[in-house]
Amino acid sequence: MRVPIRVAAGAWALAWVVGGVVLNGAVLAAMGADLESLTITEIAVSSAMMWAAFAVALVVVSRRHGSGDLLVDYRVAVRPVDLFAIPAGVAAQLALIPALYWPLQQIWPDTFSNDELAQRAEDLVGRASGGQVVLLVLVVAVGAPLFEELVYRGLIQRSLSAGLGPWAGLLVAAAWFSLIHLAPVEYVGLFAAGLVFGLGLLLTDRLGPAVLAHMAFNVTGLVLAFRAG
Amino acid sequence: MATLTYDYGHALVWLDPLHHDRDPHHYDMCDRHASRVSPPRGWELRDRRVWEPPAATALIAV
Repeated sequence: MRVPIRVAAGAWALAWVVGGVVLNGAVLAAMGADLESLTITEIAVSSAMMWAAFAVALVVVSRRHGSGDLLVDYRVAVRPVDLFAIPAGVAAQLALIPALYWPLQQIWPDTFSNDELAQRAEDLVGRASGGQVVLLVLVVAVGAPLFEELVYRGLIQRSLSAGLGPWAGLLVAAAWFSLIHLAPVEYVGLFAAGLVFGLGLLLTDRLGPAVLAHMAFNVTGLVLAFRAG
Repeated sequence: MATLTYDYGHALVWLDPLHHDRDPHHYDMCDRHASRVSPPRGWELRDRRVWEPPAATALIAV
């Protein structure tokens, strides 16, 4: 499937506004959620709204510009060799991220302290207890890697790569993925993580390595946050 | 840095994180000496210095 960049960007933007703003706002308001401190259940519902909107966008784009078969159009496939992405995702979290932030921490120790960098992960972990831990793991380790990789690698990176070339597509998609998380202190780390996930797709032309690396990255981050908590 | 205090009557010695208040019955010492403190026979040493693991970077892409 070859999707023009304007179509991919438009589909993403529409889904982001509908899922992330309209649906999220309506559902969280109906739940009486405090936006400053969402519970794990509310975060899961909020994520599900976003993913549902992305899923609709992916289906529509696939039907209009591809075969209509999501597995084929977004290169959803995995082979045993793709398991190499798991240690790559773990290494990105444990080695690449600290190495990238080390020089920043020397220049701006307060802005890029490890406490600041781990805050979001530790906030999530701190809010989870009992059955909510299972819900948190499902959101962080399964849902987010699957849907985000379908969108940012399967749709956006492949569309950008078709228009700009594979390496430019990789870079722009990683930047896009990083910026949309709306956490400036995490931009550098998520850009690097996006490059690792995107490389999985670039090297294999399958989404499997990207999803596996993303899962491994997030699970490692969760384990670190649980340890710290 | 650590602060050593003791209770003669109960034969107890405590090692705590460095106390910030000054007291002639508090004995401040460096970590190296604190790690070598050996109480008299029959005394109990309670090391109450809490080791906190250094924070790690932990990013979650959600």
